[in-house]
Amino acid sequence: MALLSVTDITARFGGFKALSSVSLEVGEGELVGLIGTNGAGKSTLFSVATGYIPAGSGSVVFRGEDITELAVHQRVRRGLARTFQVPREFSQMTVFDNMMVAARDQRGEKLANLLFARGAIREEEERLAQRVREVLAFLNLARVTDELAGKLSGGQKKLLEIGRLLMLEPSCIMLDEPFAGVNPVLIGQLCERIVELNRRGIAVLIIEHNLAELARLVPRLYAMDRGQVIASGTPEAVLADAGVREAYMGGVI
Amino acid sequence: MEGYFIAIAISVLVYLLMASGLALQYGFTGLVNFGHVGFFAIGSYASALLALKGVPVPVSLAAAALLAALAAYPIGIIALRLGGDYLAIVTLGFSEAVRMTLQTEEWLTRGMHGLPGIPRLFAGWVEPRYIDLCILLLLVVVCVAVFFAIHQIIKSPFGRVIEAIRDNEVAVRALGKNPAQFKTRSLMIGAGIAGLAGGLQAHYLTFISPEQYVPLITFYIWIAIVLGGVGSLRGVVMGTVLLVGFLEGSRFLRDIFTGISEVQLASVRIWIIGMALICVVLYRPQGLFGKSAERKH
Amino acid sequence: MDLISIANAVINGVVIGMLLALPALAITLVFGIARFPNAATGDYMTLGAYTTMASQLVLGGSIVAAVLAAMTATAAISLLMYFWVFRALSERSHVSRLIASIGVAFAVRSTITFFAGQDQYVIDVPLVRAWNFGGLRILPTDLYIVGAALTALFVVFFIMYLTPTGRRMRAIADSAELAAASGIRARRVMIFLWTIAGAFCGLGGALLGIKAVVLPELGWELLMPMFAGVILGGIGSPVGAVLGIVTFSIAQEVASLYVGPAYKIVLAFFILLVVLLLRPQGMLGRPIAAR
Repeated sequence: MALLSVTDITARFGGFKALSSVSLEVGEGELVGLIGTNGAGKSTLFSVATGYIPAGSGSVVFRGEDITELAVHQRVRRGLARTFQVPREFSQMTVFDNMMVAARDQRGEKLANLLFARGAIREEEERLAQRVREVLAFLNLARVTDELAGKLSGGQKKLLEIGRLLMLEPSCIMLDEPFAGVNPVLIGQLCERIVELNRRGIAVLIIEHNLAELARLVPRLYAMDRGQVIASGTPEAVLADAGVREAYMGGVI
Repeated sequence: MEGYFIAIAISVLVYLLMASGLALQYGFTGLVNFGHVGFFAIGSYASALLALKGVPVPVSLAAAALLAALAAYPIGIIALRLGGDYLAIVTLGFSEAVRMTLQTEEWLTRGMHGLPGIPRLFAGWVEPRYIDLCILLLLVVVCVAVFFAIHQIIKSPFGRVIEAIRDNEVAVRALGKNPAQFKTRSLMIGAGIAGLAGGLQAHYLTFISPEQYVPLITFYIWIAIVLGGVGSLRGVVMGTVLLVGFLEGSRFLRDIFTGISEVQLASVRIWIIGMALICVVLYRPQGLFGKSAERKH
Repeated sequence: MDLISIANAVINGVVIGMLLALPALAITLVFGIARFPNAATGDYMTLGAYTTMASQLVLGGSIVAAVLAAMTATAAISLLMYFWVFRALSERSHVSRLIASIGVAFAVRSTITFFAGQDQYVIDVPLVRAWNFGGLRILPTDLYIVGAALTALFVVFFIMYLTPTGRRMRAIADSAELAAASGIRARRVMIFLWTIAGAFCGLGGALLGIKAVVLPELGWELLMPMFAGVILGGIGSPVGAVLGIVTFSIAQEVASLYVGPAYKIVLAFFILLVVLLLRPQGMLGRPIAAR
């Protein structure tokens, strides 16, 4: 059974139909790509799957549970996390604090514990700090640990967002254009980290504009156009599809 | 003369206590609470009524803080799921609803007649002429404790989430945390502090009536916060001192402008408060003592 | 409660609702276009009531001329505050505009009390006897009030739905970014918005002053009921504002037969909570996205 299955999703903005009857599946530990031109509905699909936009109709099932009606944070708590096309770092906080915030269910988030469990909180903070340093090292961000997140480069912000998700220990992450605005050197590094995460058992769904990059990275692809899934399968099969070629006007591929 | 200074110092400290609650809510969490005086009123009446029924004053004060905090709970739950503007409208409505209820439910509050004979703090414990001084000292202790507690909260993991919410709420949700839940707790703590301030004031004044709890009081506190600079505890102190300095100082305006009536003087004071709110927001968004520019939401 | 009393309360609710529809429309338009809840709305009404009274003293008896003068005066103050305060804050957070609007409210009201004091006044209108239809009481003055409100609403809806400026206005209310991208000049729309908002608050205040008494808290005390009505109708929606405030006013008048008039504000507060809990987008509003 699939880890995440999105079935027959429809979404409207006013009179405009952004998604019509879209279905998509991500298996346990799978690495899947999602391509499409601007306005094809990729980001909208992400937003519906993660709860930022309500589904007009259809269902989202994650680990066998129907999560269509759940709030954003409840979906994340079940292990479905996402990044944003434009990174949403906490710009006035340090990279370190950005990471520390992310860890889930911290004792120190409960006010009663501030009074009665100060020792436990301190212990937990140390444990989390240790883990933060590990993840930052893994993402090559150790150098900027104490910088304000707002001061990072575009690529570093994307890495930081992925880092925050890792603190959540998710089972599926959805990356919205992780390579957009990232310099080519860092793209290679990012790809490598994504593959490594996937190897550790985290399912990954990537939206990407950069077809060449994505085709090398993922074994399976979906292609969207005008709010519909028009093709799916291996990168070769999808890129050879007549509809996909037409949507991309033949030029880019 | 000494008595006058003690009275002013007490008034500064009561305002300071209220301001620290609002500082946690607005300065550190970004919550627009336009009904702070409502929680203050709940604290005053709760503590006064309990003490009049014979409950020991320390217990009634604790109950006042608790009750005010609990009153904030449903408001937070309902309004904080929605945009920030809704909280402003709902809290303003709340404080007016509280005042109207206090005015109308005469069987409990004696309505507009007010509640006289509230047990004074330290009465029977110390000589009457030292009571004001003792109340002053108690308020200093309470203020220091509250400021310390707020500081601890801000520095804690809870405070880190609050800071993140102010920075980027959408991203906080993406981390599996429910911003409304954190904001509601911040609202409740701030309300509890206002309730405690209300209780303390009731046991200092020994007489309270609904017209002490008009929305203007809420905006006195707002001007103190905005003047001092949002998001700084030091600024809260400076802003409050300035506010009380102005409120007290303006009483002497009539000695200078002999031609104006009491009503006109009150109008001038409110006019200055209004203009100060506009001008600080327009020209000094970081407050008189703040350095960093206001963050865009 | 007998049916006649309820019917009279309903009639009264309709009259008050129609009159409050004017400032309610101002609230909803300002919220949709300038993007903040304007807390000075109530005190613009108060200003309207006092300027009506003042211009009646200066211009002589004509109530119509006095009301028109009051509308002009409040529109002028509203525009002045836009150019001085809200225009400068348009790029800042909506909280900054909200706080500034509280400042405007206090400044306006205290200016009024400085000159007029805390006393109550009545606006001089010809006294007429109520028509009595077997217990149903209708005041001719109320008919004039409803007529004036309807005329004003008709004019503004005509402008909003059938003129280019009105279409621009609604486009900006829908999406400021989209409107800016398509090259709509916001400046003219904003001037128009604040003129309408000021004039409508002035007219609403004047009509209320005619119906009841003129006192400094007249508008401020209605802020809560008006916001409750606007949210009930769906904030940002012009038709919703009118429907919402009329529904709300009828409910309030009928309910105060049972719980007494002192509980009007408490009632408004609870209706607001219930609406926000069950249907925060109101009767006609769109679902509220994260703002």
